[in-house]
Amino acid sequence: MKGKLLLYILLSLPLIFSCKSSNEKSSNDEFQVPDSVANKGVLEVSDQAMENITENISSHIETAALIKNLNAPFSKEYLAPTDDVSQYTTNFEQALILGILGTDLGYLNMYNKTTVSLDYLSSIRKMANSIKVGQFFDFATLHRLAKNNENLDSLMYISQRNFNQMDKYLRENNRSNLSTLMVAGGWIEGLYLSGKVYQSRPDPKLREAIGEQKIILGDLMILLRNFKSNPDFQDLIDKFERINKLYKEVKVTIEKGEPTREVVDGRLVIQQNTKSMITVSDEVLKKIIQESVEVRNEIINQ
Amino acid sequence: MKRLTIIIFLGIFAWGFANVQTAQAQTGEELVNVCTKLVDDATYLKDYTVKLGAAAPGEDPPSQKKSLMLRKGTHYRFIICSSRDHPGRGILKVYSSSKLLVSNYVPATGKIFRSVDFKCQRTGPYHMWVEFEDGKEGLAVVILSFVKKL
Repeated sequence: MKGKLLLYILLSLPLIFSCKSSNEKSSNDEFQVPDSVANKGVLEVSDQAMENITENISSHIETAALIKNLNAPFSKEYLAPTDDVSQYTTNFEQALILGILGTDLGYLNMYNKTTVSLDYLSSIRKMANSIKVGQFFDFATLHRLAKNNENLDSLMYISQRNFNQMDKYLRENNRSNLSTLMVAGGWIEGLYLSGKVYQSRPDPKLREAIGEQKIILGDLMILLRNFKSNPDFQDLIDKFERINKLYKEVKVTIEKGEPTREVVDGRLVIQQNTKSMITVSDEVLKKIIQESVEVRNEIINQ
Repeated sequence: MKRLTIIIFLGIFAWGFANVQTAQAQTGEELVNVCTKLVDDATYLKDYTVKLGAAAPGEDPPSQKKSLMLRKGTHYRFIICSSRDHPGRGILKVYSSSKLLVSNYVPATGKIFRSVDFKCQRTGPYHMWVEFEDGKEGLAVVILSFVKKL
């Protein structure tokens, strides 16, 4: 009898341990979401459409890479200050600033300014913890990599992936309002950086990059308008609308062509020959840059 | 005493077997980590995990759609890694305005490439569809990475 009992206990050990493991994961992943931050009311755009649009907002890394590719010198003056992020007390502000700091971190990483990035990592952690997505920000690893100025590739990968995970988690947990704010913050900071660099180093590629934000801003406005019933969102929509209005003067044309394919060193390479062209006057470009600087500064100084 | 030894041995065997099964099952997260190491000189931008069941007899292979924004003057690299625990090999197809532009599968040769580079000249939204060869069940991860500005 005792032998049988022992047999049952031993054979059920794997089940007991696997269940325990599963529960532990679950408790780490879940937490209470305050009502103030959850989505409210019926959204005009479906969750799937929201996801598609959010995925359609391009990465901060690409803007930073373009700036660096122009051999533009690094400037700390362009970055949002990190000395007092505790002034941002609402989830609305925190998510917006998190997006801004994310773009700044991409810029810092691209220029390998790891010492400066330590302050940004700390501020990002504070903001991420405030909106309860800190579990996706691997501060310890990023801090170690930045402090020792080692493995820049890993630093860029982990920071970019962490932001993707935060964004995905928010969208999957009925908090796409905060995801939208992160995206909006990241976007305005990217435009701000591009504008600031263009002012000191006018370059046709950067001019085109600023002009083509018309396409991305169109999507972003759809995301933001989805939450227009919230007064804070309406205020942000009004700010972005000032930029959007100027972008109506920017023309996007398409020149069609057939793609070409070749295999280079065992890798399939496809060259697109359909081209998008941006037409923007000097005056409109200047206004877009000025307005984006104003909107970005209003956000960080609110 | 002999019986007790057998019981303990069986218990340890069962426990070990269960753990080996757990260790062998490749999750989407593990696949992302494996696949990210293949980006070479490129910089990771995004990852997409796709898990699909097998196609029913006579039906088209199931597929999953993802949206992405690509920018003019940028050299991108798509890498697709398929899980060893599932029979299907992943095939990606990227469309622009309903036109197939990029795929890691070449129908003429039947070859499926692990990665495909794309030199983008049109800024805009693109739609990426992922399916599995012959409609088999599969788990795959697509890594979108940035190679350089052109």
